[in-house]
Amino acid sequence: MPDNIIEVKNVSKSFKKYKRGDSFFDAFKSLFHREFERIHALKNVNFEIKKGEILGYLGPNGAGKSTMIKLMCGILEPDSGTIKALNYTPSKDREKYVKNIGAVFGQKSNLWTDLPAIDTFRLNKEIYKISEHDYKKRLDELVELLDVKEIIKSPVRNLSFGERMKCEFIASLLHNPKILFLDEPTVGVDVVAKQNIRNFIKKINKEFGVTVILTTHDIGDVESLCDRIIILDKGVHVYEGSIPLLKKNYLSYKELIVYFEKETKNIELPNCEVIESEPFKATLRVDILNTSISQAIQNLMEKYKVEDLDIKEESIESIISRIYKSEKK
Amino acid sequence: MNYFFAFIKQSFKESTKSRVVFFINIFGKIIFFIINFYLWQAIFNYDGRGVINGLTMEETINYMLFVSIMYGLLSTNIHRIVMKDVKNGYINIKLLRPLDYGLGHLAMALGQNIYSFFLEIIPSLIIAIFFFNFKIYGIFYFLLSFISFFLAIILNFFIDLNFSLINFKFIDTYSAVNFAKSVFKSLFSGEIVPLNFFPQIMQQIFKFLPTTYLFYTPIMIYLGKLSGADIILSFIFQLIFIIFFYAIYKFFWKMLTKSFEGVGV
Repeated sequence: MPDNIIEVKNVSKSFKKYKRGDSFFDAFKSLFHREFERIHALKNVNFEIKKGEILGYLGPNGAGKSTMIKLMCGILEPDSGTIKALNYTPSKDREKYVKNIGAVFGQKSNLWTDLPAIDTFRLNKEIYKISEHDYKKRLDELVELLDVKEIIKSPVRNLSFGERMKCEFIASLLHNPKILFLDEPTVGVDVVAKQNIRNFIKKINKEFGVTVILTTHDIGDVESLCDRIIILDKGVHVYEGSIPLLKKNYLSYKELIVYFEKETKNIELPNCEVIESEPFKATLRVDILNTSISQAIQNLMEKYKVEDLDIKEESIESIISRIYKSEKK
Repeated sequence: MNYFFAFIKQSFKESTKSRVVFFINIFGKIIFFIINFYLWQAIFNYDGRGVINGLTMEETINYMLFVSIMYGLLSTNIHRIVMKDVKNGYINIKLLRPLDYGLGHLAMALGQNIYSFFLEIIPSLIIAIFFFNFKIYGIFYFLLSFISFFLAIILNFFIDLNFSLINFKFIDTYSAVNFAKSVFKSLFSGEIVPLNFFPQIMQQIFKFLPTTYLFYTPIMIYLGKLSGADIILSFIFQLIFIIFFYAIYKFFWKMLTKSFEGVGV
């Protein structure tokens, strides 16, 4: 397994979830007796992560993404199945293993809020036993890449969210980790900072060879970063592959925006659904599973006087949301 | 071990951020001094005997003044820290660091204590000496008592750390557990009254209780009431208790983090 940096085999994980009624009596009763149900967060999950790739790990809220990340970080132990990462079993060799990984959890700060970020970096230097030379070199590189020379000297609580995120990235990368876990790294960050962070992730992946595992709800992140995505829903993998492949396999329609020469009503075409209709304009949804887009255009041209035409693809976001929904049936 | 000192430094730096706390602390100490000073004078005057349970009035008052001076060093906020970490999920981030959770927080507690030593202990010591006749019975005993206090701080930390692990199983127990624990600790550590005030039979039991070594033993050393051999023995007992509580913590930590679910955090 020289290529695979993480191997997950048949992993399942479940939790207890306590139930309690909302009446006063229920609250009292819960002091003595509590009911719970088992939530199966992950069911028999299998996958590998290759060295040097950027993997997008997607899924709706409560799908089990965070659980999987925690399992891969060694914070949790699987109920059954095995996880091998960098030849360690994360939950067993946690203290040795975590030296080789970095993590940025968008919602949780790694930094000491009352002190400048540089103090946290120095502390990390000691925690991870980084030599003075490596530390300086690495810090300079990262500061340069993110352009935060002055920012790291002022207390973290005075920083804007985007600036803080950049410091989080530095803190998690100082010890030269082989794997970087990112849990919603761009949540709450403005457009410019988002772009900076994305470029930064690309760079550290290319230049430092860091394998990146990313969970996000921002499809922009996925499209601009990920080589491969895994979609998880209700604890089961529902899709695994590249984005072009996702489009190829799941794209079910394209939209035609048609501008007519004269007023046109009651458009009827085979395998086309009219979504919007104005006197001189219409939006048609072409079912490309049953017909080709060229065939649809041909039909359209034959029947109506068309002045102009736009073709739109279904967005990745919409494809993914369709995958989420279909799984729930 | 380098990270240990780095943590101490970091925590010291963080403690220096607030100046208000400094003044409030000193003010609180002075109130404590006044209460103990006059309360114990009244008790001794009412009783009429010059010596109660082997301590003179002066010794008893100095005992209680010393308790007030050192009080801050022997209280930790580890229970609240663990509670927050478990509740908000920060425990996940802390588990990602390649170091021992307890030792990291011990270092932080020591960093805060270094801050307290300079900005709380020394000023209040000076106030006690000049305004409340606080007496130093012998510089050698005085220094030995500080060694004893140092070990007591570590011991106290590990006792509190063990209690704080309750957070993994039961959340929001801060006030309840802390109350029960502090009643027990303040009573049996010699914080409220010197342990000589307890019946003879209980004093025999106290020798084997870890709490005895928190206030009572260091202050008895300061008063010059312990022989050289007893002092060394007390250090050994402190060390044994520290190792004991550290081992318990390690055991439970392993067990609890294994079964920890941390859903939604």
